[in-house]
Amino acid sequence: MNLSNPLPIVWENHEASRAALVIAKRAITHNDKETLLSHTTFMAKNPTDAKRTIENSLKEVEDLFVLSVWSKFERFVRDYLQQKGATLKTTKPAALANPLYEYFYNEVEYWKPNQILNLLKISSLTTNPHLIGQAKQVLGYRDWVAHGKNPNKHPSSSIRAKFAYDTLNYIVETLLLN
Amino acid sequence: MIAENEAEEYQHAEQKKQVYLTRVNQLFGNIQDWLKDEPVAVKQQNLEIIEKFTGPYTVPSLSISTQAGQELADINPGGTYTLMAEGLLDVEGGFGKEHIMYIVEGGPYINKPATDDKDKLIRQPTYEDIDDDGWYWIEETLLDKAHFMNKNALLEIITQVSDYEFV
Repeated sequence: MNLSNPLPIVWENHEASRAALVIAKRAITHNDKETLLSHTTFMAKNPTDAKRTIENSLKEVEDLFVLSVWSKFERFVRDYLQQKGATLKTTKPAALANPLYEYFYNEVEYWKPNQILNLLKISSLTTNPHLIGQAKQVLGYRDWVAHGKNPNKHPSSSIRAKFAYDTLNYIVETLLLN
Repeated sequence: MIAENEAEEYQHAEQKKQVYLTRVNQLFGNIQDWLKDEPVAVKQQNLEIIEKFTGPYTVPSLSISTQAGQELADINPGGTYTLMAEGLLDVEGGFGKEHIMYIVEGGPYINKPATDDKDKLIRQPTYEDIDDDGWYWIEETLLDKAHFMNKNALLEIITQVSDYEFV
């Protein structure tokens, strides 16, 4: 399996979602709004409620992006480690090789995200260890969003979509170089 | 940068918060000045934010509207602790959100092997055109453009998030 960077398409989808909401908001006050809003949820709403719904969605879409980009990042890193571990198949004695690799392959699926980041810090990311610190902040924020934004337990940093993307994208690009 | 030892970070939090608030107040003073000849009204209020290391604290925020009362943008502090910078401001309008960050020492970077010598590392900045410490608008695109905050950048951000065109 050839690995490629899965993150740019997530960003592209995020930008498209935001742009679509902006266009929808403009359509609410457009002369031809009957046609533009036909068969959408906005037809049944009065313009004030429709605008408020879109503004709330614009805020929500950023947090949803952090969830989405993290999930793609995590899948990529697990795939990357499983692929790199394929050298275990050449282990001697040969009878150990395939079972050992299969065990490793399955175990990678259960490694905790923080454990994986720590492994990268002492291996592929030794020249950029600060990126792992940043990725841990993205993970903390991702967990906070995924668990309902607990008002009594805040993440260590405020994370915005663009900066989460830049951090994780640099890590993926670095891994793809090796 | 957050210390790996959380107990250590809690000790620095109050100082970092005070530095952040000073920088926010300086920028807000500039914003009031930049907008004084524009056909808009600027209202400053206080709101409370909560961060893990600082706990709750009061921050100023700005609401910008037309003289007819149409809301254009709110500039809200996003916190002392943010990724890749020393403080964050969110600019929110009816058509989206943009971010202003306090960036120091050239900003975020990665170390990359030099093209002519793989053993040599070169420091590549994440965002272009960061020459001095200060507040920068980082465009919400993949172009990685940073704009030092001045009047032109402010008007452009307001237009971006509100669809309002300054004449």
